[in-house]
Amino acid sequence: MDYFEASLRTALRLILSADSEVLLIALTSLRISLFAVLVACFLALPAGILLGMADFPGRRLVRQLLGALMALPTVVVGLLLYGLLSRKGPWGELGLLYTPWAIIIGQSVLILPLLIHSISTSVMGADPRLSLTLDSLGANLWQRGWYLMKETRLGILAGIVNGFGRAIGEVGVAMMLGGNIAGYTRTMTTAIALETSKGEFELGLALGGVLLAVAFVLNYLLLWLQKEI
Amino acid sequence: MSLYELRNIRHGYRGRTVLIIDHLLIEEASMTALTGPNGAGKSTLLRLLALLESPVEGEVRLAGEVVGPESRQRRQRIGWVMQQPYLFHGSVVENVMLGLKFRKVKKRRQRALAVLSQLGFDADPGRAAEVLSGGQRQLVALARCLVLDPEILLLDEPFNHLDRRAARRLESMLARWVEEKGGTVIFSCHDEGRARRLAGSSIALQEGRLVPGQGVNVFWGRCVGDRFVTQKIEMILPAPAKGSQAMVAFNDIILSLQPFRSSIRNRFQGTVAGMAEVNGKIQVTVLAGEQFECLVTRSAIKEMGLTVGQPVWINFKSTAIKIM
Repeated sequence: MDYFEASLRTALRLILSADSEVLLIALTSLRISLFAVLVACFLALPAGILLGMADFPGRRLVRQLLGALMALPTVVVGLLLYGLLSRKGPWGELGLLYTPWAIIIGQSVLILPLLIHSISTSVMGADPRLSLTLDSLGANLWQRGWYLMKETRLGILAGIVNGFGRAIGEVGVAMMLGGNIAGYTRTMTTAIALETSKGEFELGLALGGVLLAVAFVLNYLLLWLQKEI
Repeated sequence: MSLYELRNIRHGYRGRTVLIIDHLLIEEASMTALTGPNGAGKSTLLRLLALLESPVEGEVRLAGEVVGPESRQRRQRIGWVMQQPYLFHGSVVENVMLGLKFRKVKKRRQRALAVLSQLGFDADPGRAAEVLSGGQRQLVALARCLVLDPEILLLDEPFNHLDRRAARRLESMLARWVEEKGGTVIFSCHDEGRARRLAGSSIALQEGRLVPGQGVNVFWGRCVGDRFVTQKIEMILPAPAKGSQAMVAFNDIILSLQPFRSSIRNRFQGTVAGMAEVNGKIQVTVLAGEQFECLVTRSAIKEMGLTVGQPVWINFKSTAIKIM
């Protein structure tokens, strides 16, 4: 118990004193995951909105498939992308492996099904009067999509925040594609896993605390946005 | 010329049929009322007329052309306001400008504000649309539709949330719109009196079907021997019959202050619930178990000293009842 308490105290000190190593790792993590969410949103917003809008025969199947992909283990995504990005792989020439870009790609792929699924769910769950009103006012496809997104923004936002949470909290992709290079691709989760195994329990604990704080801030942000917008 | 023509319409949702219309014509440059109880299919019919849905079977013709949701150009000329309008996140004026924005029309704000004031919308147009009252929401939705300068106006229960003054204002505005612009208004409404007062013609729906006789003095019930029994009254028929609707023509109803001895077998005591002028005559609404409508001349009203709330008798012969 002494060991745990002492580690906890050290971890707290590391956080409160804004320890440069903790800060660097946390910022790298945040930067990578924010970018991954941005990239995923770029694809998921149009795809999710279209999927929510278009009532075609295979839609259910597509959504079921997305649902299954949401549960994809992070190491499987890491493994597949490793195959593609490694020197011998088809995209090996790009030299992306063990760079932050590799993690960004991996995390984007990981959260893409979750984002598309939740965005389409939001659009499908919109007030049925919304679509009829847009039609009656003469909206074209783009205008329809834009206003459906605006009017279901809370659900969409919740999905995006959820996606960010999954990206920043995952370890498989970051480990396999980033390689845990200090100051470059070392994220909070890879650091926690590796530092702890090296016996640096305090640093792991401090980063765990930061990760928890990120989760709290995200939740708070979501609640605040729901009230404000 | 008929503006709309509906043929062999069968429409429904998830296998449940909610509207069956064999043939229906709606005139151009006129005001038509859609009457009927809740769930009669009025809103569904309006959605078909607004080209927002395709009938499961049958065809809707607009000015002779078969139309549907794919007829976007046609739909641009139709204004549709639903019973509980959907207002977008944003201010009142932003809501009113939305259709203009979709059509990339200039001077949107100016036009939106002009229509709002024409409708007597007295709240701040910069106010968030979400906090408006039911009546104000209705006016905003109406303004959003009128600002697009449609040729056809389809209004689902437009008077529902309006107070008396706003309803009167809307009534006269619609009448003027039809007269001056030659537009066509089709509105659904619960109030038979209002429908009669305002509209040149009316379409009555009951359980998704057209009801003959414009829905006035049409009663639902069942035949028991030579009686027709509704939930509230029992009418005497000339002979045993079969059917679920009884209809009594307007002109066959005699209004009296006292019960009188005669060969008339159907007599019901009630009270005058309303009076409205229709083509020079007065339409008197009497609540006598069921709601009866009868036409009386102005001089007869004067002679009888008829006022709202007064007890009266409704009389009609058993042969005046048509069973369907």
